[in-house]
Amino acid sequence: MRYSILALLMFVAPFSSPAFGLEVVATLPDLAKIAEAVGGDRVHVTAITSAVQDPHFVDPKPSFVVKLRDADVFLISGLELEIGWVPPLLDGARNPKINAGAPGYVDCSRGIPVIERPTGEVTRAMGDAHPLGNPHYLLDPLNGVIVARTIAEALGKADPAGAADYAARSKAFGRTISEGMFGKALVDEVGESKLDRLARSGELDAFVAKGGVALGGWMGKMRPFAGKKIVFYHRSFSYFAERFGLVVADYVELKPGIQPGPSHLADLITKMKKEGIKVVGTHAFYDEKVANLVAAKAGAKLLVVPLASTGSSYAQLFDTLTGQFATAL
Amino acid sequence: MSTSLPLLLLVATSSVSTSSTSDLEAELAAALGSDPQPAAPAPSGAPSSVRFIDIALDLLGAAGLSTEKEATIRDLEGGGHDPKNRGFTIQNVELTLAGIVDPYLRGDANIVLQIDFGGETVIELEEAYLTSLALPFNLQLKAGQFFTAFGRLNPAHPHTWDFVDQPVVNSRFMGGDGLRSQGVQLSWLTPLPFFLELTGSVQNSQGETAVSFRNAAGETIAGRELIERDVDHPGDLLYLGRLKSSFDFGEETTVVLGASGAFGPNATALDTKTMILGADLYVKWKPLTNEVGWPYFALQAEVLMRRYDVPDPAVLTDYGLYAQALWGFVRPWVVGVRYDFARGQDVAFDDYTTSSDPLRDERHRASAVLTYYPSEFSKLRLQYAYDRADFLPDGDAHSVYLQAEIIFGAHGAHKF
Repeated sequence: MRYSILALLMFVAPFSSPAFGLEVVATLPDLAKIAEAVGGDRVHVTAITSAVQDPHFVDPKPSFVVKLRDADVFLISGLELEIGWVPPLLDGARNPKINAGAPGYVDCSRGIPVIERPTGEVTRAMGDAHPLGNPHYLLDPLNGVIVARTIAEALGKADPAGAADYAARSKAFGRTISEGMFGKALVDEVGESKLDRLARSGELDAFVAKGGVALGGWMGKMRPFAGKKIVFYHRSFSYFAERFGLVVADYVELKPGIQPGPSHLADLITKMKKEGIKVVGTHAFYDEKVANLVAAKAGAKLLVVPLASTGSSYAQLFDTLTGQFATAL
Repeated sequence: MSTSLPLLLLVATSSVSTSSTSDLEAELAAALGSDPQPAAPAPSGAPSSVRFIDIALDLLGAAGLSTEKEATIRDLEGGGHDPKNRGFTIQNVELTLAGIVDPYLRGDANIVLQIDFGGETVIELEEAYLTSLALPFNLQLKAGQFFTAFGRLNPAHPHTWDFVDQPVVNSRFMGGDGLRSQGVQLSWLTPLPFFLELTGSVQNSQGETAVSFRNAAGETIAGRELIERDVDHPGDLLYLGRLKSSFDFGEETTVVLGASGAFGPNATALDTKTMILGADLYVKWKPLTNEVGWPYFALQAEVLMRRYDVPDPAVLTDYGLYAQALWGFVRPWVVGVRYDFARGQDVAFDDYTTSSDPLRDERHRASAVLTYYPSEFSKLRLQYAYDRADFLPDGDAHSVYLQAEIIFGAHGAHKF
């Protein structure tokens, strides 16, 4: 009994009523943007990486250690995305509030329907594969809504006085994303949770085809391109492609983290010509020369897309992406 | 102690709570007088994966050619993990084990296997230590066998080096296998708005992993034979103090500065002491939109000074430095240069002359290196070194090394 009282105290005490707001540190800029939307004035949010960076490869700089030293809540993408640089940061920060296993350590992949989780044997012959599945889940706006709920719950634990606030703002965030996704009229008519369910189960098209309010938003914008094939540099766009009905037919890099050689590129270009693939997607931090060469030889268009929002909100990422793909396809 | 430590933990972890709750907490902890239970871990939605121990094996080997004979190469390349043969050298086979012990501790061990000149396999417990995870006030405790936190290179494992071999000054002051021993280290991340870390440690001062201190009896330094010397008082242990700070200049350039001092007895007499002082600098530039870490530019330099009392009486004063520049110009290539200098002050003694002593003569070395990384887990490296050393009969030497490394097992993280 006395243990359980203490356990309760240990759990609650470090997080009661922060004087100057919660200090929240996020590994990714979009996790930070969602935390800002959910936390409002009650939190101060810092992102370690910016939208122009490859989140797999980040130097664990001492200045990041200082940020984590002062953090009440630490948001990570998880699924081993940050495995190469978060452990030394946590080690240096000496902050028991955010150590793995503590309530302030928030793995935002919880509750996410993870895709591309390898089955069977995983070896490094596959390159630097992610054995827990594809970690770029924030490229599906519906996953952003799950993350907002996870963050609201974590902030509520750290700052119980604000729990209702966080929950309310997370709900509003979900509404914003849903309207961005399906159009305001359809959300007003059908409701967010039903649309979410329909989109995830693949029944949205059939539902919309039955008539009533038309599909708007990003889904509406991308609908004419459903089934189109694209090639991507890295497996960073699987969630976006799956949500918006695009098919990633192949990749420029040979295997995750392994540079392509001429034979792979020749096969790729032949395949693109044969299947009429007209878009090569990549990020600014990958070798543009190689991606450009593939696009040029295959008669396709090179599309340099952001991996995270460069605007002021998470939703802007999808304004940008759907705009870019709709133009290119 | 059994009640005060958990009490301390409780009070410290509640730094943001109101004073009345922390008072109540302290009262409860004192009344219960037993270890508090840790907070329940947050439920994870990521797929469950068991992670009790991370295991990795690193293989580092080299092939070399030199204008010098093998016996001389061993004097030129003083590091225990340096290539030492005309032909092939297995430099380091390192088994790394790490794991979280409980909510309070992490464990690390590095077990090294090497093949000596006679073809015998040698096993070395390079490091084995615990690290605290939940101390208050941004403190961290390390205990066990570990590298003394002197400078940048001494605590770094050979496979993380930017060159095939270690700098001359490290071989001389820290020894072939680096300065490391059994002991305790406490470090503190200060609450300042910039990075400032203070580290202090107490370790045993004897043996071949503490060559500047109580090295093994029968060994010599500057012609003086080392004697048996016991630990008579706490001052006979090895003490370290280190200060490390860092600043960012924009988002792409980071500077790390450090100063270290190591103090302890040496075994030339029963009352002689050694002091090593050092300063280190690291500057790294890397654009935010880097591709898998490329491109980057990194400068690193360390300057060291050693004062070694001998009973004649005299003080042996030695200096040394290295400065290196690494340029990752295009993925996955890195080119680098390094300059090494080391020199011992001439102190005549019997028939000893500094200029014929490979551990104290004046040395200059210039090295150039080119490294190719097929992936994060392997590398291939070509290095050329030009040595000018007083002890060499013809004054200079040319050497070429080809090095290969593979690492398999747990995905390691690099320190900055």
